[in-house]
Amino acid sequence: MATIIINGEEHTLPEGEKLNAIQLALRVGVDIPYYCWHPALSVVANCRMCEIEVGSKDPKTGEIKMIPNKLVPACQTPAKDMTVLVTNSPKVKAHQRMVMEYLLINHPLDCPVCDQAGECGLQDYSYEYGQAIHRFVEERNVNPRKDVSDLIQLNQDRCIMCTRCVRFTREITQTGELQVMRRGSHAEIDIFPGHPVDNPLAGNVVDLCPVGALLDKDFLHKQRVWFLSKHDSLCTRCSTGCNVSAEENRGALWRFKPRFNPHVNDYWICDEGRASYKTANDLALLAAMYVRQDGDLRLVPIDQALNAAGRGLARAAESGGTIAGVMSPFLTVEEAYLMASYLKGLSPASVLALGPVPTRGEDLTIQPDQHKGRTGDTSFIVARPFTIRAEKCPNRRGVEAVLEHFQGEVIGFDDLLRRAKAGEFQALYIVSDAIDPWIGEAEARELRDKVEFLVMQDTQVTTLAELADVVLAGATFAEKAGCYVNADGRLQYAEAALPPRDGSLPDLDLLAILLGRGRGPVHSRDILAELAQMVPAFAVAEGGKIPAFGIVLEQPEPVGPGVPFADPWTQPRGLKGDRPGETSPKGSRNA
Amino acid sequence: MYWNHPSVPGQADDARSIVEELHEIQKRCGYLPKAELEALSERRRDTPLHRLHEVASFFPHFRLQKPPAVEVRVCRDMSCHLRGAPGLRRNLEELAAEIGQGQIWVGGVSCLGRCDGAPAIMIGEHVYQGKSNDSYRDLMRRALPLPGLEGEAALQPGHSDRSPLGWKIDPYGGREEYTAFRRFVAEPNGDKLIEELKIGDLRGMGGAGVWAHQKWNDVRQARGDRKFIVVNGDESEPGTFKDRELLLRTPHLVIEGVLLAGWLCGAERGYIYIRHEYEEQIEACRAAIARAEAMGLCGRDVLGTGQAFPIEVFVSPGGYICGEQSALIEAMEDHRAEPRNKPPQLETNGLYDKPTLLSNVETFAWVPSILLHGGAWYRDLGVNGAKGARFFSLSGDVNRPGVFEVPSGITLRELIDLAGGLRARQRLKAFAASGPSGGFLPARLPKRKLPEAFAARLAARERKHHEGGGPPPSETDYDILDLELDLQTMRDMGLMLGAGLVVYGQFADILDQAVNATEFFRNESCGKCVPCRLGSQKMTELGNDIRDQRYDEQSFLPVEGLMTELQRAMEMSSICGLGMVVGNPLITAIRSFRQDVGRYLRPGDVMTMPDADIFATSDMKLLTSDMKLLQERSR
Repeated sequence: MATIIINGEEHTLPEGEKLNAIQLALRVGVDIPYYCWHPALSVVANCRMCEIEVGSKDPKTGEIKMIPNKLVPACQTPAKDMTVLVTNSPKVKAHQRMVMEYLLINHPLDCPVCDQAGECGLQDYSYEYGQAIHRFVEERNVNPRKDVSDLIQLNQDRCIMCTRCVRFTREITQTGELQVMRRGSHAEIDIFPGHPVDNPLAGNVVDLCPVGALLDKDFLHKQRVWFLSKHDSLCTRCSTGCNVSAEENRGALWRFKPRFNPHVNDYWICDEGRASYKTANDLALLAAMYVRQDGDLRLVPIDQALNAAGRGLARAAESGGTIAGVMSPFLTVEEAYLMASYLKGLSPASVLALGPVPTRGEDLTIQPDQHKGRTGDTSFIVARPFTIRAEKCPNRRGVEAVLEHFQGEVIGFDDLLRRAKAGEFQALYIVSDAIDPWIGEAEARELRDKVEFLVMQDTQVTTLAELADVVLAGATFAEKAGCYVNADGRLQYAEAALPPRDGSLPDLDLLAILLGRGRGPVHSRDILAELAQMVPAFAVAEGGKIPAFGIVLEQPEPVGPGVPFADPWTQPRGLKGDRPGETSPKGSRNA
Repeated sequence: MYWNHPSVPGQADDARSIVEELHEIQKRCGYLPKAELEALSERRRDTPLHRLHEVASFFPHFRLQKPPAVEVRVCRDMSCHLRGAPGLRRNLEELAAEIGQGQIWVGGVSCLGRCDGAPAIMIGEHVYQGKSNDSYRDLMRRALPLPGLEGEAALQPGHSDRSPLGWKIDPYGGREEYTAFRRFVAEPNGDKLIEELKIGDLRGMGGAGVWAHQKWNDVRQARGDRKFIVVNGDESEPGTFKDRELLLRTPHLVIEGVLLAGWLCGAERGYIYIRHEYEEQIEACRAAIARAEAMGLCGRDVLGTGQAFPIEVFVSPGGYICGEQSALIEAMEDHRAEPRNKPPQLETNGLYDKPTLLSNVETFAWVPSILLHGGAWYRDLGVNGAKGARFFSLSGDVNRPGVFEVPSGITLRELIDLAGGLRARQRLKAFAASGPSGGFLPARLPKRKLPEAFAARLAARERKHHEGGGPPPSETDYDILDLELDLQTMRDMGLMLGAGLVVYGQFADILDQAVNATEFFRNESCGKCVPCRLGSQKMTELGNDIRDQRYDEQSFLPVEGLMTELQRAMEMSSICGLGMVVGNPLITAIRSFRQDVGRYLRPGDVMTMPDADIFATSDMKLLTSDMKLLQERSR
């Protein structure tokens, strides 16, 4: 155990934890400002913002000896036993003011037209550590902006040369497209001519940039960030289940930003996942419910559509026919659980199948090395791999676990199709919410002919929906709350980011109404609590609670101030309350 | 592992660094064409394009665009600036416009280490010094490729004298005997070697003044399977050119010093890092190494012991920042020459993250004679209570600028006398004791501002001198000519002492010189850390504003405060020494040379001259103690 004295208070650090002064300070609730340091990247200590007074205490005499007349970068100061840190002395504060003033000497101060405004390290620190006056009268930088890739724009005039982006492309993706050109006050970030930033994680350099130098062209000039409400969501574009912040305003999503999860995606998301928010804004999404009357689909109020669906399925069960249900791997575990309960409740003979599992290519793992490609101090880095999965859906494992509980086996979609075409089923209830249609038109017609009653629940207008007897409009990933089990068996919770579209209801509510569970919205947490009680595979989610970083179904790991929180990084930007390291209502899920 | 590098390069002689490859391409093509870089990246396999590009763009020496037929660069800094470089540059620019037909480009270049031949110029890859403006014009004319003439390639700078001049540093009188090393190999008593260095009180001659015995012992005892010895011959500080002479006249002493260090520490390889402008020195060292190899002193088998210890010359791509020891190591590792954060120190985590002994050329060169004559011999070379001897390069307004081997503690008056006194019988106006780094000292320092301990010693000595029949000492002022040039004495006074001393006569405009010195730092800042990158630029602009007469006496006052604060912040928070000293020239100029500043202030009234307060500016003393504390912490 190490004892560290920070601003006169003693704190202890458990044995074996290797933190630097910034991480330690954050742990005990002291803010040390920084730009260039990032917990996943090597230390360069070039921004000089985190410089503090450092000394040591003699354990025998208790005498404290500070390094005289010199400040030391906290990012490269190990929190060793008997280290003394002072972060709030007049000397430190004067220094922070000076660095802020330096950084703003030639900065264009074009915040009104800068996308970063509102989540900018320069703005935040200028407010907290800078000063209101500007003593240097100076010409502003006017570098033409340039594209470093099709998706990323570089505004060199705003750059503070922290080199986070450069280090990212060298140390994490190891593609190394970015470099520092020239030197001194002429130094610039650039690409080699004709070799743009081209890697699957490229968009992360925008998140890493503490100022408005690197910008996402997809988001450029579309929203002011302070209008966005941020929701802790999950990317559903592959089975990794990256933690993202889904950012919403006026009923639409505007972007995904990665959220830190050391067990899943570290600090990153891939470009494909980053762009996947767009499906939630699709204007062609299914916007009403329909019932087939006199051969035509008629738009009906939600309750009528649900009544029709419920009646049709119940009639099939009563008449002794078999009902088949298809559960999409895009469903949350709660939805899968309710659907399985519903159909098995109608008739224990009901057949439940897993919808098609979309796959593309092969798993791509980006494995940063602890040392390779890094140039500075790497002793505080925990190098974690990042995997983009071939399986392009979020919850195959979760739905399978539910299926196995309810019928002891997982029936695949092809199997189900074959049986359906053989005329085995009287009614079919398909819940899709998938991105791509499952079957082609000819096959859909063949299937339609073999079942008497077809209920289609989806977010898109597909051929199957056009042929169905009842069409229920479900929720996109953004409109529903619930848990998914990722490829590693980790159960994670995603908040809803958007309200249900007009004419639709979240799938969980649709299923609850079909089940006859009272009126009004159902809470995913209540269903999860029930699921944990009823299905042993989900026992770890007892009471419907899961920790912030999720929990592995088979082998729950201990959660505490120890291992998983080894580097609770906060981005130097954004609303203070949104920082994951701070205690907030959201943080209370950390258990 | 702390600093991380793919691996230590193999021992194969064909394993070349990026910098060497780039040198080769530039030599062949005149610049670095994109296609060549792409081919190089392809050939080296593990070297992506951006690595080549960032290294190439860091060093002004490498050109990424096709250069004009003739490139003429006039040295911009200190002695050259003082001795007419700006005029020469204008002159050559005019001539280029007249005869060049767009084929001649004239520009500036940072100090070429030819301060004794100021102003110096570079045409193509060759450096010329000590000529009149007319001769330079003539040279430029001849460099122009005309039909029937070979152009620049035909020009060859003359060869310099290489005799050892009877220096005490050379116990062999110029003969390559290597007696000290031969004895050490026969009887390798490491403790005794360290002890002699300790008795001799040999300090690093690069400026920081770390005790050699400490450093050598640290590396000797550092744990590591592989160790390296590196000689810092980057010598790019304006006003400094003593290593130039040592490398030329006594390369065998440098090599012997490296051999001794290598043998002592168990190192596997030695490097002599020399700036690329020192063409003759590179050639002299390579020849001396070849001769030493032929004698079996280095290379595959050292003196029949079966142990290998190769030494090679590493040609620096150049830049003042490469003289910073960790930046030098970064450059050798094919990175941009950006200083590392310390700790860890090079003694434990140096080249390729291995223990590395890096010292100045002169430090290595003193070791053989200290071993042969004993530490006490070296220690007793000093005068006025100082220990040892050292080399100073003296330039500026003196009659015979050059390199002088002198006892430590010699007074400035004696040194200037050695150089033939001030030019044109001028009076001394200012003195730069460490290139531009320490700023400018006025000819007279107010006694009451001197540190107490030093003042007391001074008073005692002056009394004695007076009683012995000398003139009565001044009550108020301390004559800078009495200054004893010794590291410890200067530090006690809170001043810096380097090896490049520049003397300014009464006609020098110190403000102009200070702005010029600040520009030098701005040009040479690597840009890694914020305070130096922005501060050096800002400091330059403030200096230029004064020179452009943008202030009057009223509006100048807050500017002075601002400059002080800027300098303070840079000193506190820069990564390396460059950032820490950027402010010194201007701050000292403003504090001690008010009249020179006043000349640029509107409405023209000369300000009253306040007390010189130069002691508030330098923290070198504190810095070394900080470093020691940091070092302790890192263990």
